[in-house]
Amino acid sequence: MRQLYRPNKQKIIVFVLPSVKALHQGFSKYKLGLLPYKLDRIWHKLTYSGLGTAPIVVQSRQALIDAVLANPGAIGYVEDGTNIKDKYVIPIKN
Amino acid sequence: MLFQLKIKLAKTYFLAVVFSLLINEASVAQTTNHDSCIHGFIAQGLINVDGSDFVNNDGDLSAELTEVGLNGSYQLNSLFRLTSQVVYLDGGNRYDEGFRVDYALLDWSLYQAETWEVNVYLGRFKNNHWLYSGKRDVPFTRPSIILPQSIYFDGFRDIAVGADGAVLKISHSSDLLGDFDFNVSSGTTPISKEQTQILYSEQALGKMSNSHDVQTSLYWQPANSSWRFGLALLDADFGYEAQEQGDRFFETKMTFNELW
Repeated sequence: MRQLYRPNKQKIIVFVLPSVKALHQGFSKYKLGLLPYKLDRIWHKLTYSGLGTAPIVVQSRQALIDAVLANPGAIGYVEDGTNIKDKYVIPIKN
Repeated sequence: MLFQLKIKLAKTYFLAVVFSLLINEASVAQTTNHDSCIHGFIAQGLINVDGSDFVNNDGDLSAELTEVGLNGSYQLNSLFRLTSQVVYLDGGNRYDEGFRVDYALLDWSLYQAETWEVNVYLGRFKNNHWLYSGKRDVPFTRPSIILPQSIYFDGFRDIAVGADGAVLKISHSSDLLGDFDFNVSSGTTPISKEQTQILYSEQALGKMSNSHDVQTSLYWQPANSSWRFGLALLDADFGYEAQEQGDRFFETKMTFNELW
């Protein structure tokens, strides 16, 4: 949550899955290099100290995809190989 | 759900069990307005402290371990955000039982770039200079049911948790060096009569005041590391205004300078 707006002033809205979901855990551990509970603590500190707001939690992978598509400037994550019709999914490589 | 195992500490036994519930606003993918959100938490525990009046005077099992909070955030535009949090705490002898406004502030995003963020917080802000000071009442954000009292002394909680004034926060992220956070705050904290008596004793008839509280901190988290290093400085002035008749305490002025 260290960058809230793009250079063009568009707000970055972050959607995530609940931390118990395997996809979220894999993204947190292998892409962000953080255990999920540590990521939660960072977001909770922002939320409960007034410093900022945590990402928006949606309950399913499809809901996450729908939320990102519905909100310009939003970001989220999908499983490797996910193909979303007419949309380009940016791969994150370590 | 957190379980605290029985810990022996200088003949004082703690047994505390806390049940906590985190409440989040439900998110709907179809909405396009994500300018506001509400969060909350409820925690209730049982605590038994043998050999100390840390929680209660009789040393019996106690339910005086309640932490409830509700906060809201509203993004006015790309520059300004309003946010506030109210908490209800019951910690027995540790601090005054009741509701308090934890923070109520205007977040002004002064400067935003890809790797820099500068914010000014105006109003009642939380003390974010220490590792757990900004979230000490939220049970799922701290590593233990009760924080180390050598640093996070609960008797001083209502004074140390924040102040009314302003904060400047500068954050920088570097792929090579890591994350840097610099904070400087200035404000004062209203101190109630109950808080005065927690610190002085019930025989204090006057009132404590905080006339000056300036803190600064610098934290560094190296890239790809779980470690975080920090330095915090504090300079604060307090006074005690004695009641004219019958007060056992004299008028005093105290200055605290601390380095963490």
